[in-house]
Amino acid sequence: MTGALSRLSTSGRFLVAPVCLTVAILAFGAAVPEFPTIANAGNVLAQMWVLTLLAVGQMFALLTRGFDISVGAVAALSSTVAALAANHWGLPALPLGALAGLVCGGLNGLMIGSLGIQPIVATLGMFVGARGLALLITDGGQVVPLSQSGIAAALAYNSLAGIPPIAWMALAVVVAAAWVLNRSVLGRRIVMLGSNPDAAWLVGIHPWRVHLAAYGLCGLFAGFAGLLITIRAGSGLPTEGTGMELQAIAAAVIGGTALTGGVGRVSGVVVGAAFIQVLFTGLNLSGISPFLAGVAVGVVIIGSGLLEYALRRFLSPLEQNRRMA
Amino acid sequence: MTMAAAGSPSIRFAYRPPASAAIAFVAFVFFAILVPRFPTLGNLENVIRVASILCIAACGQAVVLILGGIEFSFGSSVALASVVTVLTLPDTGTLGAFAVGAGVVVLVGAVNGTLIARFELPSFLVTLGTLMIGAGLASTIAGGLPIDAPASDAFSWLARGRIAGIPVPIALAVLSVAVLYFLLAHTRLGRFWYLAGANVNAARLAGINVRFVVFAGYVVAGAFCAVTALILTSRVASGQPNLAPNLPFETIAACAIGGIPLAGGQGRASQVVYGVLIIAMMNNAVVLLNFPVAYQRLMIAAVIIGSVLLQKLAGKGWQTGARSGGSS
Amino acid sequence: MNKRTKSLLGGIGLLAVVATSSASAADKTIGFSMPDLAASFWVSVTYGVEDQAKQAGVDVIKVNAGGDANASQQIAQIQDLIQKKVDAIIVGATNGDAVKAVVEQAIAAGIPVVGVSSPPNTDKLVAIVSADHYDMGKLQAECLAKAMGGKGNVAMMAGPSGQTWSDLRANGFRDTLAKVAPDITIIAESRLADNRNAALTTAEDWIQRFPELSGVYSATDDMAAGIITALKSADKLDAVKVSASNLSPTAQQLLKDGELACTSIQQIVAQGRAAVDQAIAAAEGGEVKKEVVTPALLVTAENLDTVDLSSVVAPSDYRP
Repeated sequence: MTGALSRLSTSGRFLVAPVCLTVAILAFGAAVPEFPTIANAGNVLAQMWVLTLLAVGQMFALLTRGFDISVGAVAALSSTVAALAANHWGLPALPLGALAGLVCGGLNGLMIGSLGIQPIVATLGMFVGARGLALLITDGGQVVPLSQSGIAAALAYNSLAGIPPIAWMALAVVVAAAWVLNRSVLGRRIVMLGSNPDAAWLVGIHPWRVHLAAYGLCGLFAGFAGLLITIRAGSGLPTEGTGMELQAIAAAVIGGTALTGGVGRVSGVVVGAAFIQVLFTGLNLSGISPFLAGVAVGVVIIGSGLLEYALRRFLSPLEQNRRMA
Repeated sequence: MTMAAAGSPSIRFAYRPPASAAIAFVAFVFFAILVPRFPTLGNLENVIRVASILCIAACGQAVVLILGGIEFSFGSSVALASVVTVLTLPDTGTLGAFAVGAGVVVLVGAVNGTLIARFELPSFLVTLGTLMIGAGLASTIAGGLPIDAPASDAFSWLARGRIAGIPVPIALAVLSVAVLYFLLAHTRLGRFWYLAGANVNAARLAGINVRFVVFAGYVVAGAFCAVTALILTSRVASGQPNLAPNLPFETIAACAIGGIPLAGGQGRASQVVYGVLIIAMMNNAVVLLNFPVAYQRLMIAAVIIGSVLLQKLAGKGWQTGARSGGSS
Repeated sequence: MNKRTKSLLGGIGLLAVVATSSASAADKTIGFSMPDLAASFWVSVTYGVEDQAKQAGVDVIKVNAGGDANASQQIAQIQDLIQKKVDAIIVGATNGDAVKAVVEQAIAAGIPVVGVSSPPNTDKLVAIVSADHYDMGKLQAECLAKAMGGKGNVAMMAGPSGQTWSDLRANGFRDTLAKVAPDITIIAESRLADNRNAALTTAEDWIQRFPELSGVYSATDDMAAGIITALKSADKLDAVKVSASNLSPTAQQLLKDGELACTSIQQIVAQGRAAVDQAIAAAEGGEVKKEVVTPALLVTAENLDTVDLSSVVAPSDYRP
């Protein structure tokens, strides 16, 4: 009985996001007339992917007991590189932007894994450096318009079975992330490193390689997010992305990823990101003062934490080894 | 440094400065040689004044970091405090207004502490939530625009005045560091902070009232931040909904560069001081060097990474207790 | 404190009303997408929009991207306005190129779009109400050069880089200064400082670094306030002249006290009003003026009394 209960309680953290999402949909559905429509569902499903990609990448970093506050700046750099590449070599060169993200993430991983720098400091340095680089290559932060913006607009706004083509592409990438996490050796190693670094080391895993891979994936997904931004805006945006890193971490944490490492699911993160997007969209549609909307988001974030507390208490009367911070 | 270094007799006689002290010294010499007008008395006073304002808030952040948490709400609670202070100024006079402003920040700390200690919510989410709530409230109350305070010497004393010749912010920073040192090294509460940060379950099993210890930590952090809020409000002589949005990042970076790990359980007051000095000197040097704009950020990134890298390379054996390659 | 509490409660009350009632009874709804409500510039534009809409009996839904650089956020918000099927959208773009595609989506969905101040970069807009940021920089250059006597050293606190409004103002300043005062050199520029405290600190550093400093250009009046505070503490207010843009209550006081040489402004409240007029006209199928241009003005202590503040800045008790 206790076994089943404790299994349920561990998965209690993965119930938070779905419950929050459901409550949000019901609440906005009742309060805002334009919300509960098929068209709006498509709207939210189209908009959520930048945040989702950032949050999935962040999950990989969180799994190793770290985090990455440079994802916003890396996304902006990737967006810029993608636009510059596309203008130079044609639209198929866009994915070079994601490559830029991978390189930045890899550098983070090297600093953290090989040089032993704390994640906060390493990713802070990347946060400032990536932004500086983006400004440097764009003559002080000028936007880089795509020369083939018509195709980009079609990818971003045309409807393919309800949601735009880029949303489907983002979904495919996220599914690939789930595969990496659940079915590949790398994914298993990342989880192991986060949940018990000593055991991982004893088993023969090289921590520096796993850090390199985990942060590399985080940067790669930030790169994908940058690609998405470029396609939606029809331009590379070197100054975009401030604040996105905290939103991404929040989405991942609400989606059940543990800040202490070792626990996380891609599906949870996707639902967490969807919840935050629903929150933003609902607040936009309701037309309340933008300042009050900020208050509302803060309250909801704390509320989701309280929900997790309630689920934890309800589902597990047993004492859990939880860090209190 | 480990907890042993905090209070054990054998270490007290052999004071070992943190690794960041060497970096701060190297940075100072480096900038003094290469940056024009850096080592002038006037400039150094500015640097130390700005460092002092950051230092007081960083003391609060250090307490939270030692507890294994993180405090983001500093960014908006100082703004909220400044708005509230300027708005209550006509009704309560300068001293009263400052008291109200300080009270607001301590209240935010108490709210954070309650949510984190009582409900065991992750500090990241809670302080992010209060950051957004505070920002929204400050903007709503002020209408999105700064509110100027009437110019008065009393109001600007905190930022511009002097006590026995020393600028007030610097004096307050020295006091704050002394208070932090005393709390960490010589009180039971400080010792419990280390324990709760290092292993909360062991602390609980040892009979410590962890809930109160954590709650007290956030309130104390709020108190430190309150002082910073008042100095900043006095400095800009206005209520600003957007007073210091980078304050949480700067304080976290200062503590981390000073050598305090985010995992909790470790940290010394001196590490805060050196971390803050490095950051303040760096910001000052960037402006004085007058590089083209695009290179300024790259320089900041280089200094951040470089200072930590130097600590690692030069002081492998310097810092005791740094385990598992720094993944935190 | 009472007024603020009242407005806060009022805001919560409004939220309750919106939450419990269905779509309000007014016949037209206009969406207004702006880049950064935290800037005094946009607060004044918003006042113009809201006041004019109230007089016309029309609802306004405001969405705020939360920062000049938050183009992605603005794109999503405009999509939400399309979703809401508003009758017209007024857009102050974070970046004209970045929002072009989504604005054209709105137009394709039958929603006319009016650009205000920083318009989306598409020729399908039904009207453009423009602010000339370049002109604002130009006026600052002319005024500052005169205040400095045609020679000296100037530092520029130019605001965030990569944003149209700050870049245009800075370019206007630089180009004009080179023409009217070739003896004045620009010795420093900061694009990192973007709030009053940061401007204060940077100005303090500049005072130490450049004893020969005799003039400062600031992109906004809030930054100028920080610069002037720094100059006052260093006793340099007589030696260094400061010019700014925007005319919030802060700037008005600085001008009256003689601490600010001049500030260049746009009649932004008037622009907000004009944008609403054109939006309503477009929504009702009436006649629309394709371009509304209001020139930039230079305000000094001398002509402050003659400026019609109601077309320039929101009243001090306005709460968006």
